[in-house]
Formats: sequence, structure tokens, C-alpha cells
Amino acid sequence: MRFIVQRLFSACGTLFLVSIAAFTLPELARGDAAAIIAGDDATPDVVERVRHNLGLDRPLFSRFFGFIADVGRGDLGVSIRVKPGATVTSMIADALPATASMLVVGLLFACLMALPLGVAAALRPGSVIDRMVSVFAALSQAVPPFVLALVLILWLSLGRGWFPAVGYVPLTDDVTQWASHIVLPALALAAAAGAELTRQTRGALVDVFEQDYIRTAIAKGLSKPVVIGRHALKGASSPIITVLGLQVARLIGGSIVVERIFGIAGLGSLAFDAVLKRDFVLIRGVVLVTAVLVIVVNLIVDVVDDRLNPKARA
Amino acid sequence: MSIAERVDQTPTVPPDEMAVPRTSRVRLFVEQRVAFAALVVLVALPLACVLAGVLPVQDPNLQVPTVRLGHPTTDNWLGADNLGRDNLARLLYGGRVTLLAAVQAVGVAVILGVPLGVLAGLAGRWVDAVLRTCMDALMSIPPLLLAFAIVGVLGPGLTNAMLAVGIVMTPRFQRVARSGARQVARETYIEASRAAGCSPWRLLWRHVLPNASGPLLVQISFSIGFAVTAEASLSFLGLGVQAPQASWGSMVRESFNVIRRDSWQIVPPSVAIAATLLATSLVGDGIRDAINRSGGGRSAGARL
Amino acid sequence: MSRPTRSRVMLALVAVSAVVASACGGESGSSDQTEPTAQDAETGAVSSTTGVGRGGATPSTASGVNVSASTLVEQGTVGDPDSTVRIILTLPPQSWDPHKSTTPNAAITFTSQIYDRLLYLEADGTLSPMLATSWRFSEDGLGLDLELRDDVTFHNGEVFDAEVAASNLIRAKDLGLAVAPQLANVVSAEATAPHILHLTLDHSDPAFLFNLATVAGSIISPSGMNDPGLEQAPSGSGPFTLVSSDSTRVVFQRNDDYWNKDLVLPASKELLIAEDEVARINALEAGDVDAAGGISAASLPSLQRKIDDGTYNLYSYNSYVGIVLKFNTTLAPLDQSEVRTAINLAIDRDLLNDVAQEGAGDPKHQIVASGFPGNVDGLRYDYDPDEARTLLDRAGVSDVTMELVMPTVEPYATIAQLIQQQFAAVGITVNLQSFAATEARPAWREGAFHMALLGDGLTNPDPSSAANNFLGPDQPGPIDETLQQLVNEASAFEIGEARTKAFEAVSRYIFEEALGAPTVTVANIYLARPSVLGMDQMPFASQGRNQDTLPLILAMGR
Repeated sequence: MRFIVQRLFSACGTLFLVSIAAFTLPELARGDAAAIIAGDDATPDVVERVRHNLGLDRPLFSRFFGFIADVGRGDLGVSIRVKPGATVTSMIADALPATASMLVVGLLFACLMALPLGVAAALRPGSVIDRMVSVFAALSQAVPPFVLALVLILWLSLGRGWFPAVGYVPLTDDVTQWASHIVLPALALAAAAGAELTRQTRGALVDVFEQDYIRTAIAKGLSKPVVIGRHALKGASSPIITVLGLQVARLIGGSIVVERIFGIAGLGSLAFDAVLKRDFVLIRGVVLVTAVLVIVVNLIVDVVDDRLNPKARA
Repeated sequence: MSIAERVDQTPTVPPDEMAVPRTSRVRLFVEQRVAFAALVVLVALPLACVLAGVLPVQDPNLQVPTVRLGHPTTDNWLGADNLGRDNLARLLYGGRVTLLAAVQAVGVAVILGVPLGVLAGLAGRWVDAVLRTCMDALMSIPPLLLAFAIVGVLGPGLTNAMLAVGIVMTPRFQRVARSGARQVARETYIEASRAAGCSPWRLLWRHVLPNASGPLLVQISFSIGFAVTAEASLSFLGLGVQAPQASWGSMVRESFNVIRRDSWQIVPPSVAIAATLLATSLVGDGIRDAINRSGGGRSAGARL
Repeated sequence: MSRPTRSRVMLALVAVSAVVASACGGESGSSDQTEPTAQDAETGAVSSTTGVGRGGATPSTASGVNVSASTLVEQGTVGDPDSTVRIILTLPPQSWDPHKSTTPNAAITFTSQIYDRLLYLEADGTLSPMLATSWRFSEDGLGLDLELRDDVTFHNGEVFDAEVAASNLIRAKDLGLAVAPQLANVVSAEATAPHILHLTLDHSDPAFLFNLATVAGSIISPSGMNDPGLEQAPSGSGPFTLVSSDSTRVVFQRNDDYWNKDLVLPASKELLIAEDEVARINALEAGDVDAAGGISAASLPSLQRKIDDGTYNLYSYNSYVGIVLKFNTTLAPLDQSEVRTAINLAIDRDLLNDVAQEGAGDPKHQIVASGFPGNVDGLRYDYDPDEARTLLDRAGVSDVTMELVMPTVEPYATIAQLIQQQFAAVGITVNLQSFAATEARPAWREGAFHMALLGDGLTNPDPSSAANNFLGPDQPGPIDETLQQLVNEASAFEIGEARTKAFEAVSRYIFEEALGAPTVTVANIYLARPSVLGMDQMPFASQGRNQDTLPLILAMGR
């Protein structure tokens, strides 16, 4: 319990720093924010009105604390360019399910790839299987996600017609449609993560298999699957879960390009539109929310890790 | 543990393997032929790009409308793009841009991360804790997203993009440098040297850096791969390199635009990127294995 | 570790060569691009009877017949009222408050589903009644009376009348945003009777009527006008209501109480958005949508088989406008007309058309494309780099460097790079300044660069619109007085022969002064399955790329 509280405290500190970064980012932009927001054809007093309405004429610290207070209330501001008038919170809420689906399914694929391959490779280190797994993992990581996305579209969508090439269907609308639309994007996104996970799994398992208690268990006559399942994986779970947590941030980043290619309206797409249109308020909100996501995921990973492998408090 | 601590948990090289004399590791590396071959590729490719001006390579910007979207011929070894420009030339000249950008990004990360890491390793608990929280914050923001946001704020252009990517990669280097520094700090002979009045700079130069150099090299290897992907992603989306300058990322972009007409165009830049990533990956692995084998048998490692 | 590593390398090499081989075996091995056949038929013939606005009339349907909305209804080739139309386009909706649209011509695609306008622009460029049933200018042209429908209710139940119409026009003008200039000559708007709207204008301009058919004439419900949430929750009287909207998908639902009972509307419409053409084509091919817009001519060869066998119908609107190289005449050496003319001679327009559009568009030499009113027969710049260099030498200009604003989307990027090389051949070094599509024009208007490659927008099909592009913020520096005068004189004429002739004089002036360098017209191409009706009836589709409008009757066949 104290562990969790400690972690929460630390996470809050991190979050505070992130919000400073998020707030400062737009301040670095060139040009007069109010003029940009008011638009090309606006007259000077319209610009001033806009500046006052958005509170851009207040001093820096006052604005920062106002920002923090707003965020605390869940108010991330109002989009100025991408969807003028819409609250950033609502835009992110609309975009989140798509990206979350891609992430969850993607990580699932990554695990489905990593566990069997990692185990197979670790059982026979140095064998042909091990080498093939190694090559496969290396190649999977060497292909950038968007190239992989294009290849998948050409091959499985336009070529075979197994999956649609564009769009996203919410899970609540139609499960089968949701599934068929999410497969290719998730695959493109997660291949590299899966490769990394494979190597990690293999490495961790190789170490574990060398441990005495495993050899003893096998010598005692316990069947291999049981040994692997119960003991080995548990022992190897720490680095595996660790990597999973670290990969989430990278996957969210990768979703920007993948969502563009597949025409999915997720967080990545939102971020891209925001950057393209210099919608500072939206950029700020998206950065903050994704950071929160990553921090929360890592917190959860921490707790799970702690449960599975309680460590001595040094 | 925080994100930063988790990164420490899966280091590129386990800490107890780090205190090993360098020469034996170099030899061990060279002995791994695959890694060595990858290193050769990793050196030859940039070399070819740099020497492109001297080699018998065409003008990458010369548009020859009659050979538009050409497949490989004796004139255009890798074919020609939509404006009739030679793909091989654009690949080599574009390679300069991409690889230089990657080096810039890694350079930024090293310049920012290593001193901060050494500071964290040698200074007191408070400084270490503050820095760790800062790195946590940086690592909480998805790397590409942060790069995008920075570019969105500063404006498109390769320098801005690579500055952003460098900032994004800083935490990894900070952690590695910190690990190395802490390792050294614990050694008793350090205390002795300090007591004897040895300056911190000397400590840095003679003890910390040699110690951390192995893991740092490994991290640099992996990071170059990431930086190349980042440049490709940013240029693919039009936020990195600007026309008519070519980079591997922008070449993928242009090939994407014509993908329905000619699927060959995507091959040269994709293979170049993949080959570079593979090479950096293998070289990194090789260095790490060389370090490991001189010490122990573990081969796990984090390569983000 | 030697043997294992060798086989690892072998495996890797095999894998890589497999990838390479499969990619190579893909699409066209041959690079000979045959002209897509369905395309080349029409450039709209000039019809002197209707005067302006033959702009829309070059669609190419499967049957080859040009039909109007009402004809389709009469013929019985109506849509299935239970169907859903799915189409994918390039640009997303802007604001659901039409008077706040930042790019009105692109916004109309979406706003036209929800908001009626006072007048309706037909595909052939003529005006039809919409919320206004008839209209009449006063003798001096400074007064306009419109008779309005009395059977229109908004989606929220409120009633439409002349008061509402007047408030709308005043609001659009007073907001002072992008649509406001189209109502600039409206001095006042008042309801002289429950269903009669009287406008007082500060100068006579027959082409003003067209503005009432665009976004500027959109009618918002009374409470909608005062609702701060209008931008997310539109409130109009149109044939559809908004179900949902995000950056990649907008869904509309039929308004069953719509006043126009002659129309058979689909139950719903889904407009998907993808900025990448490849994504749009993929969506069409994969069956996610039944029609796709923003197709470039260059993509047609790979789809030719499906066009020939009837899987898709090709609709090509030869655009009234095109891509123009704009000059900043305040910066040397562009202040000399010989230099500007020389630049025009240095452009190989045929090559631009071939490379950037597979020959789909047309080379453009005047502000108005050939075949449209205001175009002067035979007035053209012949590609002559030698003559260009001579002119430049005579002007005392050689080896000069200039900056060119370039949007990073196609075909601008390709054309800009081609131009860069062509100019280099006459001693002009061009530095390309890249900007995102939406940032390019604002950057140009700041007046710091020499040239910009932009699309010429029109507010309406009348040639005054094209001429005004040279009198507005797109032309940095002081207004060309002679041009302003010529345009004013020409605009006073009623729509017809005299007006056309007067605008030909405007075209000639701009040509001789070389105030800009038109390059090519842009073909606005759509692909649709035969089941989609009305694809040939899109009123604004000939006004330039990115200006897609879906007519009311776009529907799925039975």
C-alpha cells in the first residue's frame, strides 16, 4: 500500500513537470497567437478582442496557474483551428477509443508473437529456431511502421481483400466490423514492439532456464510445459512487463503515421491535425493526455510487477 | 518504480559487467563476424553518401521527363522517380541528409543526456531525484508526439525536427551515463583519488567515460536507428525535410504518392532505411555481446 | 559462432530479396502513360446565350448525357430512399457555422447538406430558386427584391421568413470573416413583407446573385444565429441533419420534413475524409465507400481496367480555375512587366500538364481558362526559353534569385519543382519555401516572397471573380488602378454578350501586363460506382480543386 502511495506521489511530480512542458510549448511559437486564431481577415480590434477573450493578455504565471486549475477541473481549453469551438476534452474523448483499440489489440498481437517465439527460442539457444526467431525479430524491427502499413495494405487489403483499407468502426457499433478494421493498423503498429518483446522474452527465459531451481524441477520429473508455465514465465515476467510498459509510449507515437495511412480518427490523427494547423490549445491537450495515459499504464505495470515479483525494499 | 528506474532495470548492458578493460571487448566484437559485417555496412553506406559528389553519380535534382517512373536500367541503376530524377543519386544524396539528421539528433541527445547523467550519478540524492523526475516526464510523452509538438511550435524543417528528436532521446543517454557514473562512484579507489585532490574532470575523463563508453556506444547505435525512423516519419508527413531536398523519408513519401502506379519506387528508400536499422541493431547487439561475453552470460537488454 | 551467424545472414538476405522481388512484380512495369479515354472529351463549349457560367458543364457520365436535378427526378432515375450514400473526400468540415467558414468554397460541401441558401447554383452555372422563388433588380441596380418561400421550417421548428433572411445576411456581413466580402456591397437588408426581402446595394453588380447561392447566402435558424454552440450543433433548414462529425467521418440523416417534396433523398449520407489520395482510392477499392473525390489523373491508369469494364464511372470536371504563379510586383525584378512576361515564356506548360496531371488538365494562359467566358481566343504564351532570356537581358536582369511559396501538397509540389528547373535554364534561381496547404496563402499575403504557386479560388462562376483575384489580398502591394477601373466597368454590364466582351478586355490587360503566370487548369476528378446518382451534377465542382459540393440529389440507385 505504501508502495502505491509512493508511486502515486512520484507520478504526480512527473505529471506536474509534463504540464509545465505542455504549457510552455505553445509559448515558444513564432507569431502572435491571437492574430493566428482570429484569422487572416480579422481587423486589429477583432484580434484584441480575441486576445482578451482567451486571456492571452495576462502575465505568464497567472496564465500557468489558470491552466493548471482548468486542467484539474477537466477543462483542456477550446480548439482554435482544427474544430473551432469544440472543447479539447470532447475531441480527445472522441478520438481515444480508436487509438486505445489499436494499442490494446496491438499489444495483444505483440504478446501473441513474443511468447511462443521467445519460449521456442529460449528452449533451444543457438539452434536453428533460435536463429530464425532472431532474424525475424531483427527484420520486424528494421521496417518502419508506416512502410509495414503500406505493405500490409497492398498485400492483405487490396491484394487479398481480407481486410478493409481505411477507417475505424467503434466496438459498440459492430464487433466484427471493429475487428476487421483494427487488425491491419494494430499489426503495423505493433510489429516492432512484438520484436522487442520477443528478444526480451527470449533473453529473460534463457537466464531463468539456467537457474538451478528450474533444472531441479525438470530433474524431479515435472513436465516441461508446467515448468515453463508456472515457474519460468513468472521469473521472466519482470523484464517482459517492464518492456511492455515502455513500449506504450512508443506505440502512441507510432500511431500518428499509421492513423494517417489508414484514415483513422484517433489521437494520432488529432495530434497531426493540431500540429499542421498550429492549434496550440489542442497540441497542449493531446500532449498532456497522452502523458497521463503513459504514466497511468506504467503505474499499473508497477503494481502488477510488484504483485508478481515482490522485491526486497533495499 | 518510475519510468526512468524501469529503464535502468533493463539496461543495454548489466551494470556489473561494465568494469572490464576495453581492449578485450574490442577484440571480442571484431570476432563476431555478423556484427562486424554490419559495422562495415554502417560505415560504407554513409561513406558512399558523403562521397556521392566524387563518385560517378548523376545530379539528383536533374529532371528527365522521358524516364519518369523508370525501373532499373543501365542509366538509372535504381530507376527514376516521378520527375525523372535518378533514384540512386537521390538515395545517396538523400542519405546524407537522413544520416546527418540522425547524427545531429543523437548528438543533441548525447550532449544533453551524458552530462546530466554524470551529474546525477556523482551528485547527491536530491539532484538525482529531480533529474530522474525530469527524465520521467520526458519519457512519458510519446517520442514521436513530442517531436511533432516541437516541430508544430517551431515550424517545419529538418533542423527543428532533429532538435526535437534529440530532446526526445535524451533520457536514455542520461540513464546510461548515470549508471556508469554511479558505478564508478562506488569504487573505493575513486574516494581515494578524490581524497588525494584529483579533479572531477580528471575523474570523468579517466574513469567514468571509459567505463560507460561501452553501454554508451550501444545506446548510440540503437538511437541512430530510432533517429532515422523518426526522420523518415517526420519527412513522410511533410514536417521534416522540405522539397526539393531529398531524404529517405521524403522519398518514401513520394513513392507513397505514386504507389498505385508503380510499386517499385518504394523499394530503394525502404531498403536503405531497413538496412540501416538492421545494421545499427546488429552493431549494437555486437558491442553489447562483446561486453557481456567478457564478463558473463546474460544477453537480455533494452534497445529503445 | 561462425556457422550460425552465416546462416543467419543467409536467411536475412533471402528475406530481403523476397520483399524486393514481390514489390517489383507489382504494378506497371511500363512507364508509357496512355491518356485515360473517358477524360479527353470535353472542354466546355462557350455558350453565348447563357453568358456566364458554362463552367460546370463538362462532366462525363456513363451515358454521356448532361442531366439536371429535376430531370433525373422526372426520368425516374431517382435514388433509393432507404439507401446510404458513402463518399470519401479530401478536406474535413470547418465550422458548422457557415458564416464563420474560413474557406467558404470548401466548406460548402458540408454546409449545403444542412443549410439552404437563398439561390441554388446548377451544375451548368445557372441560378435556380431555392429559398428565394424569384428576384428582381431595380432599374439602377442598387436595389434587389427577393420573393421567399413561405413553407419552410427549420430543423428546430422555427419558421423561415424575410426577417430571418435579412438577419442572416447582416450577420454574415458583420462577422467580418471569410464570407463577408461577398456581401460587401449590401448596405442594408430588410423585410418589406413577411416573405419579401429587399436589399440595398452600394453598387450595381449583376454577379452578386451568385454570392447568394454560395455559403454567404446560407440561412441559419433564428435561435441558431444566437447560439454560441452553433459551431458544433448546426441549425438549418436543409435536406439533412447532422448525426456525427469528426475529422475523418461526417454522417448526415435525412430531414423528412424538408420543404422540397420533389426530391427523393437517401436516408443518410456518410462523408469520409482522407487527405491522402492513396487512402481515398484504397477506400473506394476496398468497398468502404461508393464514390471518391480528389482523384488525380495520374492515378487513373492503374484503375483504367475498372473504368473500362464499368466497375467505376469517371466524372471529370475541367476546372474553371487553375494553378497560378503569383507575382509580388512590389519586389524587383518583378516590378518590370518584361521580366514577368519573360517568366511566362520560360514555363513549359505542356510539360507541367503531362508530368503533374498526366495531361488531364489544360495549359492555362489567361485568368479565365479556355472555353469559358472572358477568355480571348488565341491569346497565349508560347514556350520559348531563348526569347525569355533575351527579354531578361534586355531588362538588365540576369542570374537573379527569387523565393517561391510552395504548398506541400500535390500537384503544387511537383509543378513547383518542374518550374524550378525550367527557370534555372533561363538564369533564374528559385528557392522553394515550403508551407503546409493551409499556411501557404497566409504566408504569401504577408508580402515577403517573390512568387507563390497557388490555386485561384473563385467565389462564383462569373469572370469578375477571376479578375478580383488580382485586386485582392493575394496581390501584395497597391491595387492596379487601371485594372480596377476595367473590372468595375465590366461588372456593370448585365450578364450576357456585352459583359463577356468587357471581361475579355480585362483578360487581355492582365495578359499583356503579365500580372501573374497561369500554368494549368486542374481537373477535378471523381470515381463512383454506377449505383451512385447525381455525380455529374455537382454545381461547384468546376470551380477548382478542393471545392467539392454534393448536390441534394446524390443518392444510391435501386
